[in-house]
Amino acid sequence: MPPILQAMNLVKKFGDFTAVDDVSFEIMEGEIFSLLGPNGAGKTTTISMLSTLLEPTSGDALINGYSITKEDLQVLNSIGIVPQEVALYDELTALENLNYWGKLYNLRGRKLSQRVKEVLEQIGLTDRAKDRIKTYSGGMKRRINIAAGLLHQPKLLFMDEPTAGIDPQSRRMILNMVKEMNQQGMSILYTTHYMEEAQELSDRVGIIDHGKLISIGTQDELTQQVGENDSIRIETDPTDDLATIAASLEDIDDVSKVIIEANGVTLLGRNAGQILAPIVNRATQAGARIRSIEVIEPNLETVFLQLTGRALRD
Amino acid sequence: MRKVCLIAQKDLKLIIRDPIALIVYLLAPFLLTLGMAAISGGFSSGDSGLSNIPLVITNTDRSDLGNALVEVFQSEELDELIAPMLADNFDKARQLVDDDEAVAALLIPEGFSSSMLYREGALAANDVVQLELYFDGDHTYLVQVIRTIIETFISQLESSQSSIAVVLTKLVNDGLIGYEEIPEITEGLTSWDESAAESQIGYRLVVNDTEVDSNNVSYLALIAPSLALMFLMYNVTGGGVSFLIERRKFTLQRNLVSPTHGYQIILGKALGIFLRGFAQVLILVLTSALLFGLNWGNWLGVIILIAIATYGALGWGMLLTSFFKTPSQVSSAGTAIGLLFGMLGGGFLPTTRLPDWLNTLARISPNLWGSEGFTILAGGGSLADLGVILLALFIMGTLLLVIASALFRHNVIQDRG
Repeated sequence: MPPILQAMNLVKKFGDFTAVDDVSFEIMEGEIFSLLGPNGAGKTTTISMLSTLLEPTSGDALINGYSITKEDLQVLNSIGIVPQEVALYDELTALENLNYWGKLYNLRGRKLSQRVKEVLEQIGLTDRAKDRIKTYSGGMKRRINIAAGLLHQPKLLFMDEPTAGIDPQSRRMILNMVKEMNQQGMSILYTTHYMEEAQELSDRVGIIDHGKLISIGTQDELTQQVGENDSIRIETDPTDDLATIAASLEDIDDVSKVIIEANGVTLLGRNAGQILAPIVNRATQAGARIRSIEVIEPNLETVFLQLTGRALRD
Repeated sequence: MRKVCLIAQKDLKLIIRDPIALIVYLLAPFLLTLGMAAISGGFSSGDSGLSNIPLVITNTDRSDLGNALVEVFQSEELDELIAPMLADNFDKARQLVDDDEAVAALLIPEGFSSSMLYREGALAANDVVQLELYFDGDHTYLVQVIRTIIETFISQLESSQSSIAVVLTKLVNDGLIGYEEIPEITEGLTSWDESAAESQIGYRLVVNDTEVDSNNVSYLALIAPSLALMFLMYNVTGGGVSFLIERRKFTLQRNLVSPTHGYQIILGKALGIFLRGFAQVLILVLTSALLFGLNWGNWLGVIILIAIATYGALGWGMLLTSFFKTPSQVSSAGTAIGLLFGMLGGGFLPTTRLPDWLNTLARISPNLWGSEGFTILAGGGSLADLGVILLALFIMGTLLLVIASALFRHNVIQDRG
C-alpha cells in the first residue's frame, strides 16, 4: 500500500516554545494510525499543520501526493477533519449544518442530499435531523461533528480526540463508526490520550510527548520495547510522602523504574508475582498506607511509562 | 461567489434564529429614535440644543403674510433659536451666506401674500409665488430647522380657513400682527373655495435653485438619520465580533480547513454584516416614512446612500475586528467608536456646535457623510447631489476593507486559528 500521508520533519514553534519537534511518520492507504500522547503533547498542533490550519515552522508533508505548504486546496479536498471541539452552529439544525458544510466541500444538489441522508443514517440521527444543534446532548453533537467531516468522502480523515468528554455509549458508537469507515477503505489519523482507544482501533501507533514522536510501530512492536516488564500501580493515602516511598522501592531486584504519580507510585518490573511481597513490605515500612495494588501486563501505557517516565494521564 | 453568498446566508440565518439579537439589531434603533423624538417634542431651542441660527431674510413682499413670516422669525419664542437679519436685496443676502455670516438666506418674493390668499377665482398651482431658501450646503442640519419653521407657518395657512384664523389669532397673541390688520387679511378669505383649497399646492419652496417637496419636517427627521447611522456603526462592529466568536467556537477554523479560500470567508462574513446593517437602516427609514410620514427624499438616492454608508461603516467594523483578539475587546472598542462617530456625525447635537478641528476630524466617520447625504435628500436633493458623499464613503469603505482584509489574513488566516 502506498502512503496517503508522509510527514517529513515537521516543526512548529510559537516564539521560543517548540510545540512540534521534528516529527516524521507515514500513514498507508486504508490504515488507522493513532497519535497517542497526553494533553499538550503536540497532537492537535500536528493535525493543525497537516490540515493547513497552521503553517509549519519547517518541514513539510505530502497528503495524497500534495504538499501541505504549497498545495493547500488540493490537500483540503483530500482530507476530512473532525476537530477536537464541536465546531457546529448551535442555532442551525443538524440538517442545515450538514448542508452548509457539504456545500463548502463543493457538494451540490442531489449528491449533497444523498450524502447528508447517508451520514445521518450512519450516525443514527436521522430522526433528529431537523432539530437545532443546541438541543442535542454532548454525544449527539460529537456524532454530527464527525458526520460533517465525512460528507465529501475524504481519502484521509483526521480525528482529533473525537471521544473527549462524552458518555460511554456515545464513545462506543464513535469507535464502532471509526472501524466501519476504515473497513470501507478510509485512512484515518486518530489522536487520543486514551490508551484503550489506540489499542482497539489502531493498525500502528505513534507515541508523542513534548512535541517529539518518541516511538512508532504496531502494538506488538511497541510492547516488545518494554520487554517482559509489567507495571505495578500502588495507590496510597493522599497525605503519604510519595518521594520517601518511591526511594524505598528503587533498589528492589527486577524493578527497573519507579514513577511518582498523583495518588501513588507506579513501578515497572519483571516477575511481578514474585516481587509484589517485597514491594508491599518496603512501601509499608516507608510509611505508605496502601489503598490498592494493580498489576498490568505490558501495553501502550506501559510503553509510554517506559519511554517517558510519566503516565499518559499526567 | 457561491461560497461567499453561502457564508453570508448562514450568518443572516444565525441572526434571524436569535430573537434577542434580532430585536437589538432591527428594532432598538427605531424605538430609541422614536423615543427621543417623543421626548424632545418640537423645536424649542431648549429641546433641540440649537441656538442663534443666523438667517438673513429679504422681504420684497412687504405685505401681510410676508411681514408675518418675518415677524415669526423675529418673535420672542424663536429669539434664542433664530438670529434673523434683514437684507434689502437677495443678492446681498446670498453674499452673507457665501461669506458664512448666515446659514441661509430666505427670499419672500413680491406677491407672496396675494398668491397665498385667494382673492379672485381659483388658484392655479403655477400662479403660486415661490419662497426661496438659499444655503451653501455646510449647514444642512440647521437649514432643516429653518425649513420646518417656514413650512409649519405655511401649512397652517393653507390647511383651511379656520386654521388660518387660528394662525392669525396666534400671530396676534404673539404680537406679530396687529388687530387692525385682521380685517384686511380675512377679507381675502370670504370667497375661499374649499375644494380648490384642498386640491391646490399652497406654495413652493426653492432650495439652491432646486424645487423641493414641501412635506413637513419634524425633529424626528433631523435626528433619525444620525441615530440610524450610529446604530449602523454598532451593528457592523457587532457583526465583526461574530468573526471572533466563530473563532472561539472553532467554526471559523472548520471553515478554514474546508477547500475555501481565505478571501471567500472574509468576503462572505463581510457580506453578511453588510446586509444586516443595510436592513437595519432600511427598516428604520421605511417604518418612519410609513408610520410617521417622515420625508426621506428621493427613494433611489436613499437606498443607494444607505448601501454606501453601510459599506463605509463596514470598513470600520472590519478594521476594528481585525485589530483585536477577543469579542469583548471589539465590543468595548466598538462602543467607544460608535459613540465617538455618533457624536461626530451629529447623533447627539448639531455638528456646527463642534469646533472646526473636530468638524474636520469628523470626516473620517461615515456618520457625518451619511447624515449630510440624508439631509440633502430630505431637503429635496437627488442622487446627483450626493456625488462627493457617495465617493467619499466608497473610498473610505474600500480602503478600510483592504487594510482589514490584510490584517485578517495576517492575524487569522495565516495562523488559521
